[in-house]
Amino acid sequence: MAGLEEFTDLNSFEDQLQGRVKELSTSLENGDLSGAMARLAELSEARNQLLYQEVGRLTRGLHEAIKAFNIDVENSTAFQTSASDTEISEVANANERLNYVLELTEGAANTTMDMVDASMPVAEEIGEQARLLREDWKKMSDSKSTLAEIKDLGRSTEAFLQEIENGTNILHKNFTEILLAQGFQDLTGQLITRVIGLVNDVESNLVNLVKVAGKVDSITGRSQEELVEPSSEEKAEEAEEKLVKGHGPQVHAEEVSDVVSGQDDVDDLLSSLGF
Amino acid sequence: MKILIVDDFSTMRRIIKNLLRDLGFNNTVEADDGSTALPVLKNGGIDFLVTDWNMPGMSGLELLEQVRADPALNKLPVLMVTAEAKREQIIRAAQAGVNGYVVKPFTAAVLKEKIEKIFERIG
Repeated sequence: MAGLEEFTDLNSFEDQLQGRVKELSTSLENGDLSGAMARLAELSEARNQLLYQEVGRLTRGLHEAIKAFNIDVENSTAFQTSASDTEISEVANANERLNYVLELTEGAANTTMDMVDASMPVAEEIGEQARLLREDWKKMSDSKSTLAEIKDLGRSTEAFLQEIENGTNILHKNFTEILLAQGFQDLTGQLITRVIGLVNDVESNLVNLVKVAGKVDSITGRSQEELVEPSSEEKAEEAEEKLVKGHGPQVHAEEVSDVVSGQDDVDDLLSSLGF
Repeated sequence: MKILIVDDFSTMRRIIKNLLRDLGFNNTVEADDGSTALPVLKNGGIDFLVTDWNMPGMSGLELLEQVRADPALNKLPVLMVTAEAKREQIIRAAQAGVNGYVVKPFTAAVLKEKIEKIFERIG
């Protein structure tokens, strides 16, 4: 099978094909059947070899396309610190983001329901006390009450007003927490927007791949050029662009060293800068 | 005291607006990104700017840089309320002249503390 490795592209494959066909017909004309069979085997092997190469090229193209999602400074810097997975893909990151969306929505739903649970009894108690007090007042206006009874009513009314004051303070605090819990919509919105962006990228890259696959017979390495790694300058530009435009909410902030893990961290950092 | 709240998510603007009202600041206006906020600021009358970072169009950092570059606005106190949590970003915001930095998700107490601190400092 000498020379088969040289079938690097379709043009040379065609040349070789024509050469072997001539050899084949010469062998047949000379009555050399075993020679002819050998030429046929070589032809078939050459064809397989070319297919393997094209499949390999496509696989490489697909891999590059997937890696292209990873040319994302956020991930390369954020995840390189976690030693094992230096090449975590955007897709894996999208899963993390969506999981974080689940966590945030679940947390917000629970906080809201907890606060509703805590507020209901306060409202019910105020209502119940108001009902009892109203009955007492009704009794007083219906009958001739003694001075002692009127004083009692005054005291219980004062106690009730105190309860309303306390109750509304609790309700106010709970309402504020419910309000704050709605912040999940902003954070999850940002995360989902980024995942939608990724899906669009995947789609356009898949379309590219389909185009590449459709042109199997014309592939001559051109698709490789399109998938070259960006230069370090381009990467730096991209990093600056990302920094100025924003990275979006951080997922697993506590595990990543270049990300603050909360307001205390921000305060420490700012005070170290003289704030 | 008139406050401009800049965030692309209306829910977050509403949350901040409500918290500010709780703190006694009733006069607020809103914008949904830096490029809509800037004309409002240039029109004058805004005493305090609360801005998100990551927004379509002009980001909060770009808005901050524009504000600091404008002689009429460069003294305006700016509080950043954002999910952006990279150290280099906080340093960058500090260098650009931010007066306070709150990371989302935040509590009402943190927002109150940062706002009070800003007003204490500028007197």
